[in-house]
Amino acid sequence: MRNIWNDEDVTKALKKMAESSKPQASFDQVWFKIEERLEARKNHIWNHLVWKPWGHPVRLGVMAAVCMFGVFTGVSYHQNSLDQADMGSYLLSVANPTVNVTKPLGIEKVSVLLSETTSSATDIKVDDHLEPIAADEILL
Amino acid sequence: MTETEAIERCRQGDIAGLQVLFDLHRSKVLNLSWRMLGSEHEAEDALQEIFIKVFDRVKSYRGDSAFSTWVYRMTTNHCLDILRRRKILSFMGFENVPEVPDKKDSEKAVNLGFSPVIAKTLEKLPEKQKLCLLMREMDDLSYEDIALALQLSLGTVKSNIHRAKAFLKESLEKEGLTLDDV
Repeated sequence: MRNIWNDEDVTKALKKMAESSKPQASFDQVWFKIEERLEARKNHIWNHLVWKPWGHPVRLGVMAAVCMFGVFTGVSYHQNSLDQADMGSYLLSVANPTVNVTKPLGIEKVSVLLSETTSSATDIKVDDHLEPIAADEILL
Repeated sequence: MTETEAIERCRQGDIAGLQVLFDLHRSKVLNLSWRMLGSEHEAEDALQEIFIKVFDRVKSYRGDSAFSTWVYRMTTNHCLDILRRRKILSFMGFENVPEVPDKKDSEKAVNLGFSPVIAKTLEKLPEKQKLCLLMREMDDLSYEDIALALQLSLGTVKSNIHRAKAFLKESLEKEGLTLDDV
């Protein structure tokens, strides 16, 4: 004969099982662990140094001002260092203009040409009208 | 100390408040975790983690629902996170991660105090239907609490329980079992 189960029977069966089976946990031990972890966290030094600037509008304003000041200082410091670098290179070029003159194309130093054995540099004569600064250079 | 006072003290960072809440809700939280995770050891660990979370997040409890519902919701979320993590680790092939194939699932259910027939039937149910049924019938939670804990609508919870019961009835009738047999 087939048994007929209704909703109440299912409920009773599940309740019966719930009564007969319960996890065995040592609640005292679990609580001890929880307490220990919370206490350890509470005593941590960082917890005494927490500052929440969003907690009050004035504090939020102060933090925004500090951030703005930091950004402004950083930008002006950076700009200042750029200006100093520009000024340094300008003064250097004014004091010694030959330093920054790049070598014109087609001009080679005679000493270099003389050092090359295969070159025909010996046939080349230095013109007298060349400026003293370019005395060591020759137009190829 | 009443529950409301305990919540308030907890909000102020007083551990004594948490102890009162722990004593009030520990059994149900442990049962629920145990049924979801299938291991006493893991349920104990979950109990610990959940009450630490309760202490940390009690400020966000606004009192819209019963405090117990809020705690159950936290419990189900925590356990679902563990199950999800377990599935991912198992999928990635990590050892020492308890897998959840069908056979082991039914063994787990028998360990949880179910009769083998009911255990086999339960493992065939979708996870949400099984959870709704167990929370209602074994942990005595109200439909509203289950709906809030599992983030389902009230109608879905009721229909899940109805379907799960119908499936269970059909299976038990097929097996020819009586109430005394299970």
